[in-house]
Amino acid sequence: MDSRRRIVLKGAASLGTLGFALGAGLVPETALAAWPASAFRTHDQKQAITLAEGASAIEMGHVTVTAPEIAENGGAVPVSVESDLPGVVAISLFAEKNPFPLNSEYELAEEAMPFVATRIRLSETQHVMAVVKTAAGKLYGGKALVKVTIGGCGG
Amino acid sequence: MERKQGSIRMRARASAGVTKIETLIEYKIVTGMVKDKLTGQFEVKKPQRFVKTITVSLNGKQIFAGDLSIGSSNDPFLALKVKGGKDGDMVKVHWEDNQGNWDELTRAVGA
Repeated sequence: MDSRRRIVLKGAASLGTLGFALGAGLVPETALAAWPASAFRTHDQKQAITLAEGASAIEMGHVTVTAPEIAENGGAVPVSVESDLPGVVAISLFAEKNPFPLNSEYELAEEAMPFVATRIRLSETQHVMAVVKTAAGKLYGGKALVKVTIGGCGG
Repeated sequence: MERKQGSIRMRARASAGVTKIETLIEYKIVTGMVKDKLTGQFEVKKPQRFVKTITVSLNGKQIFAGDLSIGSSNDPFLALKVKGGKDGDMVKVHWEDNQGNWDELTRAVGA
């Protein structure tokens, strides 16, 4: 594990997450790593957001999620996230109907612009939601509906 | 736990004060999930294999870190943008999977 990986200390929030993981007996192979196992392993999007972000109050807006309206192959759906907010420190992606809603989270240093593009798996037609965190700790959200023809979960 | 040399494709281009970095990791993800014939739900039944973390540095300073999951596509793709940057700046991409395998690649912007 590369200990330099974390750019921003999550402070109390990440301690809370670790506390939850320990408390729930989930002490995983990743107990000392920063990868937020409990957030990635929950089946509930609301809980995933709370675990990943340390809060659940999200203001919708200032976040644009771009994804195809129809994805023939749910195994590789291009998704990009952009925000007009200053001081964005983190971007997370959630797929509410996937077996595990938290898809990925990204931490940005000041040099990084509030943008990320990736390709994700979607099990079925659903909204893809992005949550952006500012340096002040405030959460903003945006979403896009993707119709999936063939789901991307097996394999 | 081994280095998967040559797994990373990466391109970085500077234009109008913004450097765009695009990278793709050649990697077959194993979600370990099987659809239960009775319930129709996906459940984790087999060992998983996925890229867990990816970091990007510019001139030795880490500027971007991602925590990924089985929800990435095969051959995980990532694009990001950096304020400033110019041809010749050095970009390093590093990844590690859930089994401790890893690789990294350093390449100049504009190369």
